[in-house]
Amino acid sequence: MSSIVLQFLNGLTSASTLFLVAAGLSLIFGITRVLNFAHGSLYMLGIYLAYSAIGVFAGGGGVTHAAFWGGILIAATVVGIVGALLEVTVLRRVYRSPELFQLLATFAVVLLAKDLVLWLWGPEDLLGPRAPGLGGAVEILGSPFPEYDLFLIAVGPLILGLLWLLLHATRWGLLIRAATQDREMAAALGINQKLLFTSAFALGAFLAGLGGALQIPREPAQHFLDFTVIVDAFVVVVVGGMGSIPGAFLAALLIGEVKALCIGIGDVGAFGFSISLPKLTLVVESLVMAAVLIFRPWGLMGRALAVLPDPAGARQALLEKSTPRMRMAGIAIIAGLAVTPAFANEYSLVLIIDILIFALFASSLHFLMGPSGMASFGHAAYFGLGAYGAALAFKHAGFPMEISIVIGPVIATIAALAFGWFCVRLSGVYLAMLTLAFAQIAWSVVYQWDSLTGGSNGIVGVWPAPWLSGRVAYFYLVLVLCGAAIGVLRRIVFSPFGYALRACRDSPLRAAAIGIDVRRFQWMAFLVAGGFAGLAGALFAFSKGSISPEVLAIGQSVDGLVMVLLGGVQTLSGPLVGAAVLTWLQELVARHIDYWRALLGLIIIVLVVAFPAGIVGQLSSRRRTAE
Amino acid sequence: MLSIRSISAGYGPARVLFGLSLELRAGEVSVILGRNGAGKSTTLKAVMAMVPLSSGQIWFSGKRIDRCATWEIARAGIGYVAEERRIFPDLSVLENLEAGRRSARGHGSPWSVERIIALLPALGPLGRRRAGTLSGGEQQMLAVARTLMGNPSCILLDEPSEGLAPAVVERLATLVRTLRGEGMAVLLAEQNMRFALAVSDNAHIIEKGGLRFSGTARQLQEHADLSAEYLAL
Repeated sequence: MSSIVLQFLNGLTSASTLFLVAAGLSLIFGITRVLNFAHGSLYMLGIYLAYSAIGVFAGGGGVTHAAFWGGILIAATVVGIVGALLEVTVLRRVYRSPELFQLLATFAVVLLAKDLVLWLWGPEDLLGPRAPGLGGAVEILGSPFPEYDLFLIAVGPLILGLLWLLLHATRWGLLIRAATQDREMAAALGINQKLLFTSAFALGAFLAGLGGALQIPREPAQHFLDFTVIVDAFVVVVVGGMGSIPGAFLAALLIGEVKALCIGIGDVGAFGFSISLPKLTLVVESLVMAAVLIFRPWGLMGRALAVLPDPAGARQALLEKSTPRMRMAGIAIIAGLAVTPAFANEYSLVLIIDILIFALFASSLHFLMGPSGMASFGHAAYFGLGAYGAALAFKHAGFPMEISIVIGPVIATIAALAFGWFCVRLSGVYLAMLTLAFAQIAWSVVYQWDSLTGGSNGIVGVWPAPWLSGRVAYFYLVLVLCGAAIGVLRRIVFSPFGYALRACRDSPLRAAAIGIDVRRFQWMAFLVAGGFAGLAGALFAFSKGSISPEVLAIGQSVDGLVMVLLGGVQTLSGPLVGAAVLTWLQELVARHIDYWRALLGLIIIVLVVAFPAGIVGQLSSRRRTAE
Repeated sequence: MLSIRSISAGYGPARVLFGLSLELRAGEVSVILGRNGAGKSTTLKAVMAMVPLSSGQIWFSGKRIDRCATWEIARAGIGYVAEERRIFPDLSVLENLEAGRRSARGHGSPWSVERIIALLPALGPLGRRRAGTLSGGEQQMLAVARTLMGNPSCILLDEPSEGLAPAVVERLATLVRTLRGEGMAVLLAEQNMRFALAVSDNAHIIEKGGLRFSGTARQLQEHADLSAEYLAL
């Protein structure tokens, strides 16, 4: 009994932290409509800064109240200032770009922040001091419970109250709420949005920084906190309803408690199986999110988002069938690739194989995002399940490679069938978050099912059949399969099915009115995209000889997004160019430069600011203007 | 006061206005008439920089405003009441008014909540109601009132009579006349010709993004052929 109560209190503690981060994220999203991927990085920065600030204030001596609390406040304030700078230098330039581009820009900031932290503080975990005066424990039902955690439990509701006052009792709050509901109309009433946006961003960043800084006595500063925190915060914001601060609080409580109770309950045995709930917190968390979104598509306290006026040119351009000239260029590229083994060395051949595989992966994601209009943040699920499906069929079931490479995509398709059925019931950011949730479920299952998947070690010895084992032979296999698959995807876009998908994207109501079963078509789009991503995954597994859970981790999904957005979501050749550019950059930069992430982040920011419609999109629109 | 000089504008690649020019003097009510899609709303939005100009200039009170941001144009003294009213639905009526409040720029007596309610008594008892729950007519009055709180010297009304009951349109007409009496310039975009001509000094007809007629409201009433040709009445 007492352990359950303690776990309940633990849940409240983590709910407080979750709320601080999620409230800032929600506030920023509400007014700027930017989903700030870098919010987890701001949290991480908060911890590291608090560690250093307290250290400096304490000097060589003990940690006084002034040093500890002053350090935490300074850390949060600096993070707030960083947030304001971020808004002014990067985000302000992309408010008129499509939503997903803004996401890409914030992701670039994640990369920058990660390397910044590594450069300033190094890779080791840093353990901070205890809070003076709160270092002890109180006895609750006979068990000790940290005083500091009790303090944190109080912080959440306190911040909720302060935020509520700020939003409802000040003119600033009134204007924030007005602009959240209709920012164009707010401007027409003379409200200066620049100030409002920057200040909201600074406040949101401050809260994230505070959330991080307050963790310093509880957990070490680690350089991978950014991703863990951002996924949690996304889940909380989506469950609570985007833009709703009380919703974020409620959702933080729900998620915090669910996770804590999983740990409290421990292993559960049923039907001869033993399930370890503590290991499955991520799965449970994602399931809660999926359940909430299915019954309340806008979250617990959210409402349907007001449609923003289309920024000029952001509307999806018409996809054009290939002209004879483009077809010639396509044939020339394939012919060029076909003869590369004659003069390319081993290293470039491997790089080209990677590029081809990722071109297919990016094309399948593009099929979902472009013609079907459904952004997926979890496309790695299908790539990874394709890879694991093929590897498991080969290693465990003993199928030959030729059959395993078919089984992979089949598994991915089945997953797409299941995940897609839920996802097509939502739209926009909510749909994207649900795809992320499913991908996280898939990842945690693969990661934690040691006996089948090898856990974090993955599966090794996944080699192609003897006749394909040479680099050159495998290169031709990849060239033929990826080329054909990309061609088929292209054909589907210009088939009646593809036209219907675009009709569903552009106007679901009108499409339904002329007899198109919108959900069914979108569901089919998931199958197609999932299947082809699975093929890419299967080819990837056999090209590397081994796979790890990385192939279905969030980083892989983000890579896909970056490829599609870098190339331009409005063109069919965009994902191919994006895949080539990103794969090549990662390879080139990572080999020669220590801080390659930061450089990649900078490159992405420059590209996003210079090419708001993607590389290919920008070139083709320039060509159109020239004509 | 407001001078629109051969502007062209549109949405992305679609051009809507082609070299349109209009003049609006202080204390004058003008109406832009035209069929659906003729470019009435786009003209008003272009003034507010809610639609980008591809050419032309817009001047207001001796200053060029076509390179300003929407909020700067509003602060210069142009009020805008949108076609779909676009009140903030989750804010109360009073909060909507408060969001529109800007200090006066020294012409006429400044607007306050009390003065607004004296002018539009129907809003009085609604103060704490969520604006989204108001009726169409109440929302329209609130939208105008919210804009007045910014103390504009010129006000753009986009199809204010659309979807309103005749009695409410009548009240709207009185309101427009009162504003004119205060020395405010009013530019209307309308389809309701009876309402428009009853309150306007001047009328402009636009068709396919260009001006087809400009004259006094009386002149337009005398040219039945014009209305037939451009407004399909």
